[in-house]
Amino acid sequence: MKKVIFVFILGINILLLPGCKKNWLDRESKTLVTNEQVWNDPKQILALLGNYYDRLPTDLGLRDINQNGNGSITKQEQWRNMANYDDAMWSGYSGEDGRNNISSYAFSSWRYWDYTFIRDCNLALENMEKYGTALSAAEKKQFTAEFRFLRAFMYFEMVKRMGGVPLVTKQLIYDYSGDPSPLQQPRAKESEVYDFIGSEMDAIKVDLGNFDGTKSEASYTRANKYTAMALKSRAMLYAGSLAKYNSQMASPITTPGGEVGIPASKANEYYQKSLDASKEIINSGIYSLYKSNPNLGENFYEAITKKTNNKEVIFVKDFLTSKAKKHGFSYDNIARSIREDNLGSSAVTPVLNLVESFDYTDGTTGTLKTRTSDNSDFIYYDNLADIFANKDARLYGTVIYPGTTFKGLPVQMQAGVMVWNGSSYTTVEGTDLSTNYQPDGKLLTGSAGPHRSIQEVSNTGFYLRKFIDPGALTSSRGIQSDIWWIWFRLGEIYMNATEAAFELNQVTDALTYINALRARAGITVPLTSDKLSINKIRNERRVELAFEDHRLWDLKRWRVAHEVWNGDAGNPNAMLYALYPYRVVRPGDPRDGKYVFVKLVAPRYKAPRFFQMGNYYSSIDQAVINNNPKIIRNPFH
Amino acid sequence: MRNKFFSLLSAAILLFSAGCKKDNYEAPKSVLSGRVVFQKQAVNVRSNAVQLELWQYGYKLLGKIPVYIAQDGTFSAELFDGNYKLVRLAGGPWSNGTDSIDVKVDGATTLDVPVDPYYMVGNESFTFNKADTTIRAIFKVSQLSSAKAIEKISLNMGLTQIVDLTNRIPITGDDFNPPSDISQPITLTLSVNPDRYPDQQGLNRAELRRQLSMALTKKYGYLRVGVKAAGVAERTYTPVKMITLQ
Repeated sequence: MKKVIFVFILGINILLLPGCKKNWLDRESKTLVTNEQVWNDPKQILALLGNYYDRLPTDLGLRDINQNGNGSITKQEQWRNMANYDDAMWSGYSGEDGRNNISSYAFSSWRYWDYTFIRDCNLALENMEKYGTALSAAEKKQFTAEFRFLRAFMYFEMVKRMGGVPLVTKQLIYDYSGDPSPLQQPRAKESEVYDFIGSEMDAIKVDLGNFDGTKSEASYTRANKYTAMALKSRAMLYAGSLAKYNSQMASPITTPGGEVGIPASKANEYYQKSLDASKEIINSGIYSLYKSNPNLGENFYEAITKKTNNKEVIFVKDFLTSKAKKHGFSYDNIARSIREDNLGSSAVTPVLNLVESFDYTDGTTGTLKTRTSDNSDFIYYDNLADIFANKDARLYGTVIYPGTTFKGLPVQMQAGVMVWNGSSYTTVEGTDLSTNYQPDGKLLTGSAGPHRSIQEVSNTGFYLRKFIDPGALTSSRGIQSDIWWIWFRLGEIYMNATEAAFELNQVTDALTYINALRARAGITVPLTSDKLSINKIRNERRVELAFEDHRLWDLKRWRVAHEVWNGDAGNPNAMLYALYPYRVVRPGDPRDGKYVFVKLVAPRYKAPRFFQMGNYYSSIDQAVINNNPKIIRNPFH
Repeated sequence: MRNKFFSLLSAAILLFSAGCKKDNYEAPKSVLSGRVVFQKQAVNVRSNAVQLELWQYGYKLLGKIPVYIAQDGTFSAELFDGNYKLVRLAGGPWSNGTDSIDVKVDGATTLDVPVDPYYMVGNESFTFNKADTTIRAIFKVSQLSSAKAIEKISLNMGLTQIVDLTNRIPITGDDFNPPSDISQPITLTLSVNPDRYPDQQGLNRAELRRQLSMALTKKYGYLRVGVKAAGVAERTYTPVKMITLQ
């Protein structure tokens, strides 16, 4: 038996060998591509770029993506984090209620240390130079500029979370000598990382193509000259405010080597750079604030979500249902009563804190009026939406509030009824949605709540409108949504310009920029120099850019996060509030059938937001420090 | 065949059981406990906030062992016997001590960790005035470092024995500005009458009123005074004291 097999194998070998002789050891692999193939083929480089653009991280975003860099516990994109701050709370699946009960933010929150991405960029830059002989000079220039843009974007994401990080701009290649210390780089100064971002943007802006002079041809999914300036505008503004406000703290957060902490003397230089970059975008005339819809509320909503003829957006992460590039943000966050799936909805619900931040159109502060001025009685409203009359139109564009519609459908909101018992009101609320109040057979609790305890119903009396898809069936898991995520839009650039100009005492310019945004939102009385303050600008930034991943970083760079979110249950900024509408049951009285509103701490909200000094910079993973002892820790960790 | 199977099986069992013995360490048993002290007096802090950290050198990888300080200034950790370095992490209500402390853990070990607080607060006494439902605290603050002025003094009441700025009945105005002269005993008065805290435009205080009524019904509460140095997040507190509300 054995012999037969042996002979057989021998025979086969003899048969096959002559056939392979020639190229057996030098065939082209069918599963590997070589460096020469990749770096000489613009299509493959473009595919690579697509992958890199897709990996840019954001604290919020519209998807739930978890591609961690080394030692990172922060997800690359996590829309649920919208419910972790003070613009919204969690009203979805009760298993995630921890977001309403964050007794303090962990020191590792927002940690990001993705040198895998940095290396990918460095590798691309070096190999394209080395192998890319067949690329034209123009192609090489443009791709190089784009890789450098992506690398700088990533350094910005890291520096705003970690402080100064090692600035690695070349591939680090180990020589197997047994000594890894040449690869161990110490952290750069915080200011050096910001300077790097600024100088990179200046260096590449002329090489970045994706733009031929008119907006219709300017790419908003790939970086062009103005995208680079937008990144510079934001980064320099961060650096300026860090320099200014860190030094104003009673004990500034610094490290001896400057890895954390920028000297106050550099503030004006950074503000000036930010303002110059913003002006370059604004004055280019390529972009303009979106003003196509005469209904100002709808107009603001479209400014974020409309993909055609939108001259406001500068840079987005785009999605397309027909190419199966889509996300479930609308499924998770659409208002309960109009959801198109049997599950989901209502996860991130805006809170009263945000709603009241929107001014009235006459420019007065946006506190909602629920009680008479002497606090003796409710104010009675004929319609649910009346309490929101004359509010900044951006409120409508951001939030679905009682008495409004979405996709043309009413979102029925009523928490219960207030029954007059002769001397005072008794509150009656339904145990379920869409219930009637038996004595009069009229509505008790609306089909969209709000409800104190049911999951996937608003707990606050508000739903999200921004970033929710208006298309039919987009909130179902089968279809999903392709609303884009906005990295940069002109509205932010106007806010950056306002803040930088104000900090540089150019109040007239600051007023021009901020009033342009306010006028677009229907505010009829422009701000004047005596009314413009840094707090006004900060509030404006909050309402203009809500849910676009700014609030946390803004509070951090202004060094006020530990005061606004001080963990004090008596501090109205650290607690999240709801607004519950009730129908008045008072037969025979003119007030019968009218609506009253009650402000309360949202029932599912438990612990006040608590941001500690150690949260200003995220902790660096111990594994990173073990690998590279030259990395020093951030303060307080 | 059967025999072979059995011998294989028994070999496998032998292999695995031998494996378990070696790989499993016993849990650490030695307890390191102690207090953070200033002049032999424990420094009271906010619960679950201020940290010490322990490091054990001599191994390839380092990992810190966080040790939280309890509100009465004590701490404890279960460890393996060995030599550790204890680091006083920045963020406490004291000036940063950058030197680490060598600790040898051998069985139950106790250790007092000296710190340099900016302020100490003591000699406290609390009284309840039934006539106007107020609480009065009298205490003395000693300034130990001229580097930082006092920013705030809090008088906190809680329903449980854990009391500090984040675990308390959120009474409006329980965080006072310091008097100009802090060398004399300081008196603070705080109303605990729920009717004194009505809703205001934009400020709903139902939860505060509910907790105050609960304290008055139970007829007791826990009190604590905390002193904040300017620019330092954490405070030094007095020990928690129970007060009878009747």
